[in-house]
Amino acid sequence: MTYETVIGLEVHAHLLTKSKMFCGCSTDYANAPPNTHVCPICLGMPGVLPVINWKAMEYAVMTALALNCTISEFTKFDRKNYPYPDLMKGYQISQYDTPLSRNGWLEIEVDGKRGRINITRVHLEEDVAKLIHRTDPSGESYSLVDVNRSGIPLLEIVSEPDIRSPEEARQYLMKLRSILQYLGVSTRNMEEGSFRCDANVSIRGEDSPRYSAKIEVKNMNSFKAVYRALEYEAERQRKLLEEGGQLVQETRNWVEEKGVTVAQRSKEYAHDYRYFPEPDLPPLVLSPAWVEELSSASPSSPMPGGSGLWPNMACRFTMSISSSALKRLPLTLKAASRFPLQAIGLRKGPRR
Amino acid sequence: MNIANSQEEGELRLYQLTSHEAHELLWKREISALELTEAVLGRIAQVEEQIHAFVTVTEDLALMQAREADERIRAGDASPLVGIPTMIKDNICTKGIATTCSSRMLENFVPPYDATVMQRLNRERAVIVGKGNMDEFAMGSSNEHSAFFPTRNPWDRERVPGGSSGGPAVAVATDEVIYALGSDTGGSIRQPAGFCNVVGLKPTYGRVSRYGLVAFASSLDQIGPLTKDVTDCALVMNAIACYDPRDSTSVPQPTPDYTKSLIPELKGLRLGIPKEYFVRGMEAGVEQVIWDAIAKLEQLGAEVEETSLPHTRYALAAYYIIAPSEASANLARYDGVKYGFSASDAESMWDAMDKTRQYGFGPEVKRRIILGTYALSAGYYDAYYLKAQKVRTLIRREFEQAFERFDALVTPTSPTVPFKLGEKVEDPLQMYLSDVCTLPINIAGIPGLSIPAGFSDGLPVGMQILGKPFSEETLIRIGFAYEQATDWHKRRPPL
Ligand SMILES: [Zn+2]
Repeated sequence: MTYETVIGLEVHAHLLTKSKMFCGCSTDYANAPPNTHVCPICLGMPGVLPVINWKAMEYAVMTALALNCTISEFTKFDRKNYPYPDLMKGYQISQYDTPLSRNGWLEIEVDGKRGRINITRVHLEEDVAKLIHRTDPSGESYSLVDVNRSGIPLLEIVSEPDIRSPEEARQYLMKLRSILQYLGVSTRNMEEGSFRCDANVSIRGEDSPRYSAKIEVKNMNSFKAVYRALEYEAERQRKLLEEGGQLVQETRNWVEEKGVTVAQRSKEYAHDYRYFPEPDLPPLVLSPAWVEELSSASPSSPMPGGSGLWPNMACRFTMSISSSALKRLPLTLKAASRFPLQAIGLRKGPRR
Repeated sequence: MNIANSQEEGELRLYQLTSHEAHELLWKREISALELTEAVLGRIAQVEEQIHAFVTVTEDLALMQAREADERIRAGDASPLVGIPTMIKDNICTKGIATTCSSRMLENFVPPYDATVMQRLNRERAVIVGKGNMDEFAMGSSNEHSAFFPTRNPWDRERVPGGSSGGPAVAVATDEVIYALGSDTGGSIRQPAGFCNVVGLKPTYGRVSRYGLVAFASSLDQIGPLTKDVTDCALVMNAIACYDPRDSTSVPQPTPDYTKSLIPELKGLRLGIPKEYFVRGMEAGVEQVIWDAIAKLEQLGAEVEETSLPHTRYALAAYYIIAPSEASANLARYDGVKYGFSASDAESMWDAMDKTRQYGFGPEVKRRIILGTYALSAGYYDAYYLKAQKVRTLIRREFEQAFERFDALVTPTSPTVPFKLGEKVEDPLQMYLSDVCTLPINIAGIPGLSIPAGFSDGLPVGMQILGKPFSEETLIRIGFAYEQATDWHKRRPPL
């Protein structure tokens, strides 16, 4: 039997702002000693508060426009709760049900055939610290925490499960990276960990209406690793099904040296993230005028590279907030304008 | 004024001064900041053993700051708070001074930075005498949930001072400091102010920066003053109220001069009395004091009318969803990895985090973390957190409508006089009910002022005055007029 591979990619890219997402620390930590680019805010000290870096908002909106996304007029940040030593506050400031943009697409070309990969959403969040695992000569293992990376602005770009092969995945990633580079919002590469990718992989028999369970694959550190991991994982799933095995939803890590994926221990991913609106950051209104301004400030020539791809800067602007999302907001717009408590964030913060 | 530092009866001692009285004497060089600070430290040595208001006394720092203040005064600095000794609640970060939140978890935590309010006070050359005891992480209404020791009510040491700002309220009531800063999430400034016969203000949400206030419930927390009279309340507000770009929920509204509202008459002011605040189970003596106080406000020229805020009865339930939900996330950072208490007997990373939290947190903190975690869990979010947010909007709207008709609302601060130590500590629900008159105000984000209104069975009763957002001036005017016509605020406990 032949199988169809179904892949969705979740890309995390560092934004090239001068300072971190919610504090003034420098993002230029590549060659810095551990824990030198830190302050009480990105260390998650008691009593500190986040302030949005509007430069990151600008870069995120520019990218979303280039990916043909609809910009949400109304957006907010949420807390994603999970305990882990790389997470300074015990929660990550992310965006849950009102991402700053949705519904875009990216065109790729494989074997002379052009196709669109739809993009579910593009949103902003903060990166976590880096854990370095060590084993000392006596055999005792321990972990070191480097907080330099904590709070670096992170753009999350989630594709629909429209990718059908490892090669398509590679093309998608390359195109995406070149757009980010072209816009000047992110130029670093996967090896540095500044452009990361997780994949959801499932397969479906040609005559079967159902996909296998969705398997998440993490820890792929280069475009080549993505290609190899996806190829391995699709093949692994096919074999398992053909041998009469059952696929269960799980998260697997790519192990580069061995060329295999390995299931994570359950405790590491079985989380209920208990998202709720970040009370320290009032909801935001992204004014159409501001988005227009960004769209015209973006590069005005087509992308080099001959693909004819031209990031669509046309500004599509609608109120793209669902009614259920509205209900989650602490206040409705109407109530807020009449009673200016926890005023909606019409004023912009520092651009840094 | 007859000032003396001796122990003779009938003479006003330095530590008994209010801020504005002390400022006048400092400015006229009749006293020095050092003398005032020494008097206050002497008073602490004299009474602290009986009441336990302080977690930390910063004697050396205070004396140093007092000398600096004297230099500044000699150089012509006329800031109203220069050289005036104060206590800071122990959940407000003070650079270089332990900030424990009265928790084992932060017993050894020394912040590397100052809260915005501390920067404001330091700029004024205030004298920091120490840090005030509180319910652990501000969760409680009696100070019995301090991990260190309960603070005693100076009016009856078998009774609680209220909470969570019990230390600050007691320190002001017993003249251990001239004024104090507290924080209020559901009544934590106003309820202890009422229980101890001092003035306490919870400002409008967004009026005072929360930067450096250790978060309990981020959408409800607010820092405010505890003072000996309303004039001092206005002076401290002048110093701490400001827009702070480091707090995104702070509101960019200019700070008025609150002392301009110290006007001793209320002609034309419309006051509403919401009947829902005279709850079942309210003590008759407390009710009597409040109605007498309302009659006094009428005499002073206010128009008084009964009104109704029917959604008030849902406030407690909404509060105990929203506050623990936010707390469950806010307290997640205490894992023993970065600062504070860290369990040493652990076998693995997860074990270390579990044990740190098991030993580091007290029972009330754990209770609220569990409540909040549950309320935010998948499948329960809509039924609890979301529903509570809807109730919150309704309560806000109801206040908004009331303030179309009234300049302010007047209620009791608490339904009872201070209760006995141990009386409610085993019964969380009874404890939570003691905040029934104060927590709707945090839910709505509006300002609330508690002032001394009289006594019932020899114990203080507070009157709460509420206004629309950013109407602190109106509250101060009403409080001041009442204070000028009465002398409840001048009574001091027998210590
Ligand atoms: Zn930082």
